[in-house]
Formats: sequence, C-alpha cells, structure tokens
Amino acid sequence: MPVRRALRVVRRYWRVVARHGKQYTAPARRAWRRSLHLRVVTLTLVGSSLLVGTFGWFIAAQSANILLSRTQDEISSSMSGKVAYAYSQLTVHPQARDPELANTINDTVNELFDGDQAEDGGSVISIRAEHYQDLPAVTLPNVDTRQLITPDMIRTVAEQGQVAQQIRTADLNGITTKYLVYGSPVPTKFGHLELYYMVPLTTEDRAANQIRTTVLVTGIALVILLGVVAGLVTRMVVTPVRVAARTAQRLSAGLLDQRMKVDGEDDLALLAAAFNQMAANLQRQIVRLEEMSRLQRRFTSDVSHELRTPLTTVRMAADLIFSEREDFEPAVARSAELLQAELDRFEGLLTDLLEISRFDAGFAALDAEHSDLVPIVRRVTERLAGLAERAGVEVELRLPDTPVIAEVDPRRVERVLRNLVGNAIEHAEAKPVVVTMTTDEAAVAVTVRDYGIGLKPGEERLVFNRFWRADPSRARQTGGTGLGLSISVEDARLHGGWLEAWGSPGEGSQFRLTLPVRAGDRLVAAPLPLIPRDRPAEVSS
Amino acid sequence: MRRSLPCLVVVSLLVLSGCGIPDESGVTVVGPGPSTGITSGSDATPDQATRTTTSDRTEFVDNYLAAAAGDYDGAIDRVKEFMSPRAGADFKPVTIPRVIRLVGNPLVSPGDPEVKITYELVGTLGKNGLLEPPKEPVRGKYEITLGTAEDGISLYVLEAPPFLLITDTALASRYTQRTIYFWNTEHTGLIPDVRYMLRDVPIEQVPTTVIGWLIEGPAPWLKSAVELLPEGTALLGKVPAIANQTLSINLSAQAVPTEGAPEALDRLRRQLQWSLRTLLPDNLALKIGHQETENYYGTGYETSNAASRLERLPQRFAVYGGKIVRLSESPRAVEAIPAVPPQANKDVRTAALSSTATSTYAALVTGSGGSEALRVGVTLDSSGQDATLREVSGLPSGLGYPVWAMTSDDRPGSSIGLIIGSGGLYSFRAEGGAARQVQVSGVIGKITAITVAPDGHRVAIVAGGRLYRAVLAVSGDGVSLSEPELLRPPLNPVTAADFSGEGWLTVAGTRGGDGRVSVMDVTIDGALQDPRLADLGDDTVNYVTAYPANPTNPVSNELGNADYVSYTTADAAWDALSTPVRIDAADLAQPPGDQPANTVPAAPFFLN
Repeated sequence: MPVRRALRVVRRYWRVVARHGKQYTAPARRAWRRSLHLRVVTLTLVGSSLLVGTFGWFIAAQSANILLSRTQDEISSSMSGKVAYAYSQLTVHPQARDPELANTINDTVNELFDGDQAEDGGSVISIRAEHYQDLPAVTLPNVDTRQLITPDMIRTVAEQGQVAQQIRTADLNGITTKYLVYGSPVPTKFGHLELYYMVPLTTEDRAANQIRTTVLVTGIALVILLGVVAGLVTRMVVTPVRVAARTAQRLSAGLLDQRMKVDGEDDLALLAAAFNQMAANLQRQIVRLEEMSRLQRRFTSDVSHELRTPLTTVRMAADLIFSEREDFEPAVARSAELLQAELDRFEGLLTDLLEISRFDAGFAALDAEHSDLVPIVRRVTERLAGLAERAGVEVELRLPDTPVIAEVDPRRVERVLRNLVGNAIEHAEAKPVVVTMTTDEAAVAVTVRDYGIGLKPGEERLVFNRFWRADPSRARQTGGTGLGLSISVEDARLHGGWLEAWGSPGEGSQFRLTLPVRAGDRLVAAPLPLIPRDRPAEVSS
Repeated sequence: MRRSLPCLVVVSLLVLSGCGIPDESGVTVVGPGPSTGITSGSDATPDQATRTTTSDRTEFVDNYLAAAAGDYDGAIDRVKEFMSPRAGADFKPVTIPRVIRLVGNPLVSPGDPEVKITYELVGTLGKNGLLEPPKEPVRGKYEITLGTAEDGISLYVLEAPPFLLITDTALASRYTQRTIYFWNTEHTGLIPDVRYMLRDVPIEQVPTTVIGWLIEGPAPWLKSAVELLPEGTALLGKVPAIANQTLSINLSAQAVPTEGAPEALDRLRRQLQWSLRTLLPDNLALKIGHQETENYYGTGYETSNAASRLERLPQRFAVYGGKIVRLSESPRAVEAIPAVPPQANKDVRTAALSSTATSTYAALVTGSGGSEALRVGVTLDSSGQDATLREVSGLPSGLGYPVWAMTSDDRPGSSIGLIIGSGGLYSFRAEGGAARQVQVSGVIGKITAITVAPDGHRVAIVAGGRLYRAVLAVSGDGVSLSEPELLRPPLNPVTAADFSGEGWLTVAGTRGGDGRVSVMDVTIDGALQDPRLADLGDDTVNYVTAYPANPTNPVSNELGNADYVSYTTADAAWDALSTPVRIDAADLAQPPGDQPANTVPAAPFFLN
C-alpha cells in the first residue's frame, strides 16, 4: 500500500528529525530541568502569551466587528433612503418600455451618487436591470463593477429579491480597495430593478488595522514585561533558595558552621532562620553523636587492649593445663580442651574487635603492593580444604590462566577471601561452592557462589552489619565472631573497592569483591555480574 | 517548552492578522427586499395607426397626418415609418410639428399617386405642449405622393413636404388640454396657460411634465403679464407617483427667493396646486432644497384663481327698454340690480357688472348719439341702494360694450375696465374720471369686440373681422396691451368673442366654407373647436357673451367651456342652447310694465 509506505517514510523522517531535535535541544532541555528560573519565566511567557493573545484577538476581532457593523448600519440606513428615493423616482414609469426610463435611471444614479470622492476611492452606485436586458446598467463613477458585484450577489438580489451585502476587494483604477457591497431590489410598477451601493471600507480597514497593531504591540510589550517581572520575582525567590541549597551542600560536605544570611522578616528570612536553626541543631547532634561514637570506639579499643593482658596470662595457664591434660581425669581433660577452644575463640574475637576498632579509629592503613591474586585464591581454598571436607562441600575454582596482578594489600585480600569462602562453605549445605575471578584493565572481581539456603530479601545489606547472623538460633559450626564480613567490607573499602552480596532463598547466594587494578583508582564497573548468570533471568529483575 | 514560545508568537500573530475586516465575504442576506409595485397602465403599446394599418388611401393619409402626434422625440421616426425607405432617408423635416386644419378633405383621386391637401396653419406644437399660432396667416397646399409597397397592398409615402404635420383632429384625439398657471406680476391671481399633453403620458409622469413646463416658462404671449419662476428653479429628481394621498415635489432651493420667502413659497405652492389640480390628492408635500417639507391640505388655494369665484348658475341680466333687468330662472331673480341705484337705471344701452368677494362694480353705457356716456360705480353692498355712478369722461362716441378687466376687493381705485369707443380701446377706472386710450398695435381694422378673461389679463380682441389675443399689463397708472397675436379660428370674419373658459373663447362669425354664421368655441390658440350653434343663417351676430366655466366646478364639461352663452343679432337677443332661443320679455324676472309692445330685451350680460 502506497499510503502505508508513505506513512512509513514519514515516520522514519520524523524519527530522524526528532532525534536531531533531541540532540540539538539537549542543552535546552537540561537547562529546563535544572533552572526553576527559566521554567517560571517560560511558563509565564507562555501563559501570558496565551492569555494576552486570546484577549487581544477578542478585542481586535470585536472592534473590527463593531467598526464593520457600524458601517453596515450606516450603509443600510443610507441604502434604504436611496432605495426609497429610487423607488419614488421610478414610480413615474408604469412600463419598462418607457423610453424615458433610461433617463430616469441615469438621473436617479446621478442624484444618489454621493460625489465625495475620498482620496482612495469613493462610493460607487449602480442601478442594474437584470430582468430588462434593454436597460443598460448605470454606474457612477463609471467603473467596472464586475469585481464588486458577484453573480452570487446578483442572484440573491435580482432573482430572490433579497437585500444582501458582501465584502469585496477590487482593483478599481489601479487602487485596490475593500468595498462593502450592498444590494437591494428597487420595486417599480413593472417589476424590479437592482440598486447596488458600494462603499469603500478604507477608513474602517485602517482603523481595524491600527487597533490590531496597537493590540499586538501592547500585547507583546505586556508579555515581555510579564516575563521580565516573572524573571525578577523568581530571582528574588530563587536566589535565597540557591543560597540555601549551597549552604546545605556545604553543610552536607561537613562544613557544619556554614549559615545562611538572615535578611529582613519575610518568608525567605524565616526559611533562612529555620535553616540556620536546623543546621545548628544538626551540628550539635552530629558533634554529640561523634563524641558518643568516639567514646564507644575508644571503649571497645580500650576494653580489647585491657582484656589482652589478662587473656595472655590465662592463655599461658590454659596452654599448660592443655598440655598436661592427658594426666588428668577424662572429665577434667575434656574441660581443658573446652577451655582451650573457647580461649581460641575469645582470642579471635578480641583480634577482630581490635581490627574493627582500628578501622573505626581510622588507623587502618593499606599496605599496597603489586600482587598476583591467583595464588592468594588458591591458598585460601587450600587452607579451607579441611573445613570443606568436613562440610562435604566441593570448592570449584574458576581462575584465569594468567596472573592477575593488582595493586592490593595481599593480607587483607586474603582475609576477605577467606571470610567469603569460609562463609560460603559454612552455608553451602553440602552443595558446591564456586570461586570465580576475572579482571579487565580497571578492576578485578572475585565472586564466591554457593547454592545453599541463600539470603532473604533485604539481607544483602544486613550481612555486612556487625554481629549480624542470618539465623540466630543456628549452631555456630565454625565459631565465627560475627565481625568477619564487617571487617571484609572495611578492607574492600580501604582498597577503594566494593564488597556486595546477592542472595535469594533456596537459590543460594553470591558475594562479589571488586578491587581497582591500581590503588586509588575510582571503580566504575565490575568485570563480573553480582547476580550470577546461572540464575533464571526473570528473577533477577 | 522553549520551542513553543516562538510558535505561540507566530500563532498569535496569525490569529491577530486574521481578525481584521476580511478581504472577501460571502453574500449575506440582510432582509427581504421591498415588495414590487403594481403597474398602472397596460403593457400594450399605444394604439397608434401605423403604415400597414390600412391600405385605403384616404385613411392612410389621415393616419399619416396623425403620425407626428405622440412622443415628441420619436415624431420623425414615426413619420418616416410611413415612408418608403428611400423617401424616409431623404426626409429631413423641421423638427417642430405643424398643426394644420384641413380645408376640405384631402383630394385623393384613384390612379393619381398624388394627394393634395389644402390646409390652414394653426400653429406649431412645441415639446412643452405649447401651440404657438403663426405670426402671419398661412394657407396653402401640400402634395403627398403615395406608392404601393413591395407587398402590393400596403402604401408608402414616396414624397412629402419636409414638415411634421398634425391635423387638428389628431391634436384633439391624441392630446388633452392641460392648463398650467403663472402668477400675474401684481401677485393678485394666477393666469392660465393652456398646453397640450399627450393622452399617452402615464398619469405618474404628468406632474413631472407639468413642473417641467412651469420651469420652462409661460407661453410667449403671456410673458409681459406673468411672473416666471425664479432663475435656477429645478425639479430635483422626478415627482414620484402619488402615494398615501400625497404628491411630493422637491424643488431646488432657488425656487423660493430669500426675500419674502414665506409669500413666495405660498405663491409657489398655489401655482403648483393649480397647475396640478386635476391630479392633486389630499396633500401636496412641497420640499424646497433641503428645507423641511411643507404639507398643504385642502382647497384653500383655489381662491388664487379668479375663475374659481364663478358661480355655477350665473346671475343674468338684460337691458329692456333702457333699464337693466334680471332674467328669470337665474339666481336672485327678484333682487335689485347690484351696484346700480334704481334712479340711475334708465336710458341704459349696454352694461357690465362684475363682483368680487366683497364689492360689485357696474359700468353702464347710457344715452345714444351725442349724449352717450359711460357711468361707473362700485358698491360694497349688493343691493345697489347706496351706490353712486360717476361718469367717465374723455370717451369718443360710438361706445361698445364695457367690460371689467381687473376688479379688486379692497382697492376699488385700482380696478380697471375696458370699452371700445369708435373702434379704439379705452380704459376707465371704477371711480370715474377720464378714460385713457389703450394702444393696440398690429391689428388691422376697427376693434369691434373686446373680452377679458376672469384672470383679468388675457384679452381677446376682434378687430377687422379677425380674432386676436393679447395680455393686459398694469403699467404706471393705467394698463397697456401687449401686441395682439392673430388666431386662426375657422370663422372668417369673426364678429364677436367672449371668454367661455380658461382655455376657450366663444366666437361668432361666418364659417369659411359656406358663409353661414355660426357660434362656436375655439381654444385660446385657435386650434380646437367645439361647435355651439353651427348654422345661424346669415343673421350677423354682433355681440356674444358667455359666462366662463369655473375650472373647479366638477360638473363642468370635459372641455371646460361655458354652459351659458348669449348673443345678440341686429334685432334680438338670444340664448345659445342646443338651438338659438330668443330672449323675450317673458324671460325677464320683473319686466317693467310701461314698455311698448315691440320692445325686446337686448344686451344680455352676466354678473361676472
């Protein structure tokens, strides 16, 4: 179908044009999105243009109508006078064949002719006898009326016997003039003739044009003025708001002593005052919380340090007892073993706490060097091979064949991976655990995938909280401290990397560690997806 | 959104530009047009004979001699239509038609293509309906050559004199007399001016035509006695047909002079009302220039024409045994003779009485031979008891019948009468005193009769057996007579004449053909005739008197001439009824008893 084809072409061009338009108007659209000022001014301009345009059109149209109808009234009354005169003059001819009739028509036209020829053409008067072909049309001044008196007009007047009017523009004697043509039948004793009265609308037209121009100019001026006013007013409002926004930005950037300038007593002053009040409150609260947090971290650090000394003593005693346990009664020996184990745990917990407090205190420092990550991964899995064997979990490694060199702190990376793989084995429920590593120019990603119980929605973030457990009732097989993932997150962050979790009940979970290849680089994307590829796509959305 | 701003501006500009007065619009019907009028005439062309109407030669000649009668401008074409194409091409006539009276019938001889017509020229008929008598009597012959057309039946005029000819009969049948009026120079009354209007003129066009005539001015012979309409008087447009019982006339502003405008306007409207009297509806709406339209109702204007005072039944008198006596069967037959004291009513030969609204004037010729005298008097009282008669001096012997020319209501001193004395014309005044001779130039022979129309200015004179017309004009302390115009009535010689209507004279004389005396009415231009008493044998009529018809009298006959005509022959006085009826002593109302048996009433007259 050609229509459809044409439509297709049109659509294609439209798309091209739209695309180009979009491209070219992008800055404008950005400015539109960003500037309240621009929006208000534009909307004011549009709104006022519509309003002023409508009113202007109404006024101009109405005044043109009034002018025209006034002229029509004038002409109408003048016309009825003329018709009455022509009628009275023609009453003396009972027959159309009266040889004097043509003279009478001539005289009548002469008499009816106004004679005042304005600079741009005066009125034209014409008597025609459509039904009496012997009688010539008499027109004064003698111009060609074919442009003015249309066949339609003649039909209406001569055949239907109606009084009718029409506006015509005609070129008479080289001057183009707008005429109001009035036609009326003139009754006579033998039938009727037709009288046409053509009045130039020059004055009215000029007046209408002047009104229109005035309305247009006034309207445009008004719209521009409104735009300017709207711009000024918006500026008055937007400027303090911008100041407030800047101040808020600085506040949020940590410059807590930033305040707005309170000027006057108006709403904006109120806003500034309220903003300042809020800022002061926030500052106070933040300072208080910081203080509290500092105290808490100090307490944790202090407690950990203070516990270390007695723990060392207890440890030494416990080690002695443990080494001598074979000499004890079985029950005592068992206790000695328990003591030893719990002390290990305690020591681990204390180490973690100290590590955390080091992070909190900001003492953690990255000891970055160029390292190959492949051996680190292998080491970690080897070390956890025993645990995996106990849990009946097979750990599968998907590592690149080439070395993956990155500027990392190998100790911390190993700790993170150990944590991740250990957790995975722990929650794998005897299903395999897959460790994958990939790299590109900017980043290295390691994912640890298990197919265990998975994570409930929302737990992806909770897992990184300190002392958080998926199931509090669950037996602590590995005896983790509950701080492992928290420390891992801090380690990743110290590298400028990410540690993220994904999980779904019944589908297992996946953790992804992403690290920049060069220390200090900003990460943009990870080479591996967080949501595993082996998962059904629809669920991932 | 930023894009929409210019769009909006463009749209608003477009909208604004579209809201002026449009360049073109459709035809809008404002309302129904006025309804069409109803035609007053028939659509048929006027019933005028054409060339092919007849193939009878006599009739054809009659038709040919009537062809010029009709629309003035088309006369030549109508006449040419009777001619063969070649004759028509060569026919270059004088444009003004001649009105002729045939003397005898056209001589049509079988086999002779020539037709001989003996004629007497009555005058020329102008476009303004004015029939002007020729300066000199013309009597002659026309020869018309007839031929047969190609069809073998119809006739052609092959050769004709280069004149447009209208016979008097055609004039009578195709035209109607229409009197228009002009004010006399003293502004005391209207003077009729008789014109001929085509009967074909639609009634709607009559007012326009009449006003055109008025503007064009009076007949030349009246000019010295009448006032013309002011220079620049023009009819604005045409006079519309009468609607709502109103005749609307719009004249240019010059129609009324600025000086004495109210009087002039009143005169103008009376002049118009009289001139259009037969058509006049209830109301005359007269508009001068752009002034307010004045409406005139009623018949108050009628007093402006002295003829309107004429009674339907006149008071009749005769002289019987030297006394003025009333005739019976006339109004007030038993009353005294007005303005003549009984003691003065003796030895009267001829007399004239004239009355105005308030006064009665008397003029008596008494005595005979050396004691002949004219005595005149005026009285406000009709009984005549208090009247005194004064003698008019300075008259020669051989006095004729006195006539009152101008009689005035309020100024008896300005009233003037005329009398013929030994063939000359004299004027006298109501208060007596010396008579003055009125110069009458251009007439041949002695004046034998004088008559003055009711308007007081138009005069008919019989002198040397011929009939003349003239006008009296007031000049200085007397009157003067314009140069008389010869009229051509079909009588020769004329022995007596009197006005019998506005456009008619009753004349007595000898018929041209057979020498028989007859009394007939002729129009004031001598063109038309209305026989009254066709054959009186050879008894010469030496005096005729008529009581002119009142133009406002609805039962007046169509022609507008007198019902009452009396005349005298050598030995008796007669009434001209359908036959002559002698006035006997028995016809007198109160005949004085002491008269000899053979006394007969003489010198009958009317109270004019």
